[in-house]
Amino acid sequence: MKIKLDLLKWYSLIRFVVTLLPLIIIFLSAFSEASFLSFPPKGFSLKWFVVALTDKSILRSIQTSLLLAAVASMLSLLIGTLASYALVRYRFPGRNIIDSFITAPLTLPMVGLGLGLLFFFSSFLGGLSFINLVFGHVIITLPYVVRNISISLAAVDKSLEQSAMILGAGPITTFYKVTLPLIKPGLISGTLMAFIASFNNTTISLFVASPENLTFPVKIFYFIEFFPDPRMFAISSFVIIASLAIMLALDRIFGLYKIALR
Amino acid sequence: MVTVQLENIKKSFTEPVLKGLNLSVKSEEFMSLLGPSGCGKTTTLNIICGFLKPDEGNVYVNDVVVNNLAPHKRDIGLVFQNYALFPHMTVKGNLAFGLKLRKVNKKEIEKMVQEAMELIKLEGKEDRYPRELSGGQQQRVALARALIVKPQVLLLDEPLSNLDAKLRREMRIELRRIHKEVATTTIYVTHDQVEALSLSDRVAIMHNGEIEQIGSPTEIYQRPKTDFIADFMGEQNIISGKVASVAEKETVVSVGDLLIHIPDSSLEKGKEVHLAFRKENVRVNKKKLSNVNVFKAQVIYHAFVGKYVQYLLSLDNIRILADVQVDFATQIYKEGDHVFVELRSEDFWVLQ
Repeated sequence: MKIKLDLLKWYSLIRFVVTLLPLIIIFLSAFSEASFLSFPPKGFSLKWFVVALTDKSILRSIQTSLLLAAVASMLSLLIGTLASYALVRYRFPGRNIIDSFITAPLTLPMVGLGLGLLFFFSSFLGGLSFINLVFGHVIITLPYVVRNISISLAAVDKSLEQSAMILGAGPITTFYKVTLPLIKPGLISGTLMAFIASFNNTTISLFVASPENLTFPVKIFYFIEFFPDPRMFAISSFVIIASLAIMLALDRIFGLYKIALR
Repeated sequence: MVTVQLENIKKSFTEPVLKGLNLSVKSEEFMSLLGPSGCGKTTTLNIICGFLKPDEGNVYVNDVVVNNLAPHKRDIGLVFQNYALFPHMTVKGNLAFGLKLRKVNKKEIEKMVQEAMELIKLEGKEDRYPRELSGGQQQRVALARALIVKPQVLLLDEPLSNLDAKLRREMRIELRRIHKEVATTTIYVTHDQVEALSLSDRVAIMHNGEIEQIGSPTEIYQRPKTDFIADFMGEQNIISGKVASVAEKETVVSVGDLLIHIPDSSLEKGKEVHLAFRKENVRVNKKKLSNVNVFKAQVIYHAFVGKYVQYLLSLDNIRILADVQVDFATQIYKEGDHVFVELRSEDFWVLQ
């Protein structure tokens, strides 16, 4: 037993280090004085933080990414809830096809999807706009929402909804008073995953983001390729810390773990 | 007065499930729908609730056709097998749910919840969540939640099948008491004949999407009409024979070489009939004590089960079961013993 516990402990520690090490390297390198990417950092300065946080194009890309992630995840939440409800609660012809169609982007190579979208947008939807970018992102965020909500919904017995109805609740009241509270964990985790998937997505954005709508990951990608200096380290560590803070705050507000464990 | 009436209800999914079902439940009556799984009883229930629409036929509640009325407008109480209590609400929240939708004021809700808690004897547990209650307690909350809105009809879908045997017995008594107290017209769906017999004013036996017999529990038990019901209501002896002679008060049926005298005189001579008799009505003696309905038999198997002895007996080529009550003075026959089997003519009835 003791050996097992020790093994587990070591395993956790190694996992932890391996996962965090790249983040720590980025964080430390951000304090470098040098004007090229280097590790271990040369000297100590905060100048790259100043450069990064005053670079309008970087801030704009973060803004674009946040807005994009918010819109894409909210749209996915809306469409995903309705789609999940139909898929879980009803049996209709083509149900399995629609289900696979929604889930497919999780398994398809994104490069193909991105390329396809690029041609689709430029040939049929008048080029690359923010709306088209949202469209592309919803395709990849929708599966997260649908998966999560479907699982929650399948766990809500139909008899609960039927009980509410027979007690006098119409379909809408039944959904708000019974179904919605019971699938809340799935809604929150699905939307959160969708948000993260959108915010992190590089491949799709690389194809379909126009120069005025460059997302943050794409911006970093271009910077590394053309201006490799530590400002990207600085801004990345800033984003990492911000997302950690947001996760902690969400946990405080919604008690994600508490909900998930219920 | 009739509260619920089903008129020629037909419903098919991939195959026909209900084939022209007729049923009327009187006001304040406790009616059981009894049948094996797959006989269509749950479909019937869903049609009464409005969760399913019948392909044909009408559903009446208090003489009003409700075919096109949505479930939430039907004023029906429903208790599910799995209780279906809202897990995110307390007991009180569950009970108040239907009242709030009916815009009952807060004070009144408080009072009605208290009364309901007294009815189900769960005072003081208002603020518990369903998962903090035992199965029997959840069951009673589900019942109270259905009754608190004073529905015109109460439907119970196998409500006791998730409880253990002891709790089931207790809940049967509770259900009976509560029904007496609230006197709501009740339809009870079950596959358990003991529940149906002990609770109901009338029992409707369902088989293959039709109602095969409706009657009081004693009628159903003592005079099942068909082979199926006789078999479903517990192991009975069913033998087939031919009507040999018909007289005014007595008909004789020949079963092989045996001649069985029965009181039924509505039969025609030469007709093939199925005769049934209950195994507890069979008497087993060492000597021949009478001349009518006494047959030579041999014991094939016997088992002592406490209050009685189960015999498997062979009469010519017919095998019958007999449950014979025993006390310390009764002789117990062993395999191979020759005995006489005696039945009263009124113990037989003819199956359709």
